[in-house]
Amino acid sequence: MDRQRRVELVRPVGLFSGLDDEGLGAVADAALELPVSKGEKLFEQGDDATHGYVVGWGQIRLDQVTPDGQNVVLRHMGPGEMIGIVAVFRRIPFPATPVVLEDGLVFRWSAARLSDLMARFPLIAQNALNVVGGRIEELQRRLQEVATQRVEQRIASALLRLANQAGRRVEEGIEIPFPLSRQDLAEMTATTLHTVSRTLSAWDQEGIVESRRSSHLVIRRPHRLVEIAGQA
Amino acid sequence: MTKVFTEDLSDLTVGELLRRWPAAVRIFLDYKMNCPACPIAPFMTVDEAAGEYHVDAQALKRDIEQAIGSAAPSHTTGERP
Repeated sequence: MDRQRRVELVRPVGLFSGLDDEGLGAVADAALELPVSKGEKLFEQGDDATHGYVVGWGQIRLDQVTPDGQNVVLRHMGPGEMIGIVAVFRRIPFPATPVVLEDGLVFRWSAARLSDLMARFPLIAQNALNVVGGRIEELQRRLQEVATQRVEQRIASALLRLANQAGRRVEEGIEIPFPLSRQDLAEMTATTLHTVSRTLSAWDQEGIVESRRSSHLVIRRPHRLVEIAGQA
Repeated sequence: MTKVFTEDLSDLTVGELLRRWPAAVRIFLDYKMNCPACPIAPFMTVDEAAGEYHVDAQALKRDIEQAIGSAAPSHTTGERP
């Protein structure tokens, strides 16, 4: 893509918030464009953190395997969100595996280039602090949910979080616009496939969600989910 | 007074309303509506939210207009870095 389009794609990225055209130009020039396809992994948990990424477009799910072999879904990343940048700066192995959920494009910078950019534009480091702070808040909320909420509340909260981050308003309600299996939901909420299935089937019957007809789950009565999650 | 509620009301989501006129937050809380903290505020219109909370939509909108009457709209993008 041409340079101007690249600049426009990095302009709204939180990590580069507040940079002037010179800064955005430097960021855009230093980036490598990588088209990615569904199912692809940007890197594997445990790999050396040699590059940082920002999602150009598409959706990516961040998976982490626990020491006893269970998969946990940490979060979903959409356009403008950064991946792996913290590991690059902490010089630790990547702690998770980003899995591409739909064909898209990412921008990639080497560790050296990121260092350079941060040295030239300290605002980038400040922004990184803000982004990471936001993620910590989200994780604290989820930890609190696991510690204090019944499983139905956690599943409702997870669906609402997804809706908030990636949802699309459609005629029937709010659509989660990428494939989301019951197994995915189990891994996002520290519960079992059986419990998620039972819960979604019940909500399907009550008309709260539409989870069977297409591959994209639709929340038909979002406020009802908010009540179940205890946030109304 | 700022006229927010013209024929655009059906298109204005609670999320958009609160983003542009943070002064409206107080009114939602007064009505015991949790919209300011709600993850689906970006998708619900003011009428829909009023319906879910069984609140008089006209009264709500009147009070919102009064609260934001002298407040200038916020110009931030609202996007967190």
